[in-house]
Amino acid sequence: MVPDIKYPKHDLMSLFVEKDLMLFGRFWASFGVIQPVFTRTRRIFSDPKANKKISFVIGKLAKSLKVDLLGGCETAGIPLSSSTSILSGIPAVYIKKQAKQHATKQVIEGEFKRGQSILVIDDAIGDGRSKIEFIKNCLKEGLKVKGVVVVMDTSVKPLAYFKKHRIPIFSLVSYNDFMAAYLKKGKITPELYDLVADYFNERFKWVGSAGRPLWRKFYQAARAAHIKLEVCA
Amino acid sequence: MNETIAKIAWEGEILRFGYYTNASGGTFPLLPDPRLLYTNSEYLKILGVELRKTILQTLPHVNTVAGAATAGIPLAAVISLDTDLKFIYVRKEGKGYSSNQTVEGKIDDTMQAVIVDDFNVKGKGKNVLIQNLWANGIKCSDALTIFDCECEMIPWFKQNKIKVSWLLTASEYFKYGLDNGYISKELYDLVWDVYKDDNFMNWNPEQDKWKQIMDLAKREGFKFLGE
Repeated sequence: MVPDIKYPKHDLMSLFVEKDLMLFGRFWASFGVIQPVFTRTRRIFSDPKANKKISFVIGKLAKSLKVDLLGGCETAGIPLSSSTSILSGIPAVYIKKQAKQHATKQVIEGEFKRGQSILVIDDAIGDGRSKIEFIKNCLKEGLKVKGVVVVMDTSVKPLAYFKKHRIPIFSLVSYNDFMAAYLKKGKITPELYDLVADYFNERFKWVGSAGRPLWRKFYQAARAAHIKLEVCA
Repeated sequence: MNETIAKIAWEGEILRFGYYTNASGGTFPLLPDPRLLYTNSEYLKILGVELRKTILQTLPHVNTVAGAATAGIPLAAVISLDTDLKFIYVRKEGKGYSSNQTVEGKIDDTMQAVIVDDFNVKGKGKNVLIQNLWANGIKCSDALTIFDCECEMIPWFKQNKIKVSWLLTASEYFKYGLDNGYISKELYDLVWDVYKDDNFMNWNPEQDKWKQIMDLAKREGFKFLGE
């Protein structure tokens, strides 16, 4: 179980909304599907104050889990694990998906010992498939994975692997939180909110030719709300 | 020479021995790996302070630190924590999903960046990163690394007037180790023979020499790759 740490979720949400992190359009998700929204979580790292706020929460979680190491996932997790390490004093390494074919040929860079426990850190999570690759690399090196922490989860059900291996996922905010905050601030319409929520509840309906009417509705709702649509898929 | 960095580099045991291969397939028996310092938050703080100092003192036109994926990212993140310098990071290629960007972070048209990385060999790779910054509208004419191998840079840097700075050169690092008793004269001579004149790029010596280095390193208590 992930400890129930207290943190200023409302503050973080306001910060994210203020930074206009949400993009609407068509984006490839890491789990291989096209989704209508994308959050530019990496934009937060450009702001040292925001970075500190997030790293402070992650540090608090890492301390309550009593982990030996912080593991930043290549690449977006690395700034977070480094800042958290500086603020909490917990040692950090970074985890690659694949080793380079030259120099050290390591998948984990930094100093660690077999048997140490690690908290895997990244910016966002979908169904968790890319996190599994990082976790497997940690396990291969003899580390015990105590959990995964992300700034944002996309409100997609994680793969069964996490339950099976008892690896908890802790997210600071979710897409649902994000959309609700956008709606509250009047940045999106209720119709657009419902459509995005529908996507995350029943993603399969949006796939292929059967999903075209939903996508069309989504575009219309976005245009009606004067939202610029971006296409990265 | 930045003595603070030289000291933590030896204290942090970044010099590892083992069977290393370079990108061109050559082999060499040792690597000073500055990334090993990142794990210790105190060392990481010091790296941040020294890099920050160098940027503020010698690159006053810079307002953004761009971490080179991946080894430069922790450095750039830490540099920006206590300054007004903006932080972004840059990859050689997009990931192929999500936003598929080569530059991550909030970009604006006033950015004048310095690329930050752990190591400088000949600059291959950094030129691609700098071009990716340019393609995203970010000005960049500087690179800063912890460690420099003193190899001849590829001509691209001169042609494009890119200034490369570093905190410590290979010769300064090894000399500091010798002068302060971290490495014996005998091993120093052997490792320096690997490093001088770009030798490590094509170092494929006879087995005897290889064994001599490994045996001596072991005797002096150095760590090996993966330890």
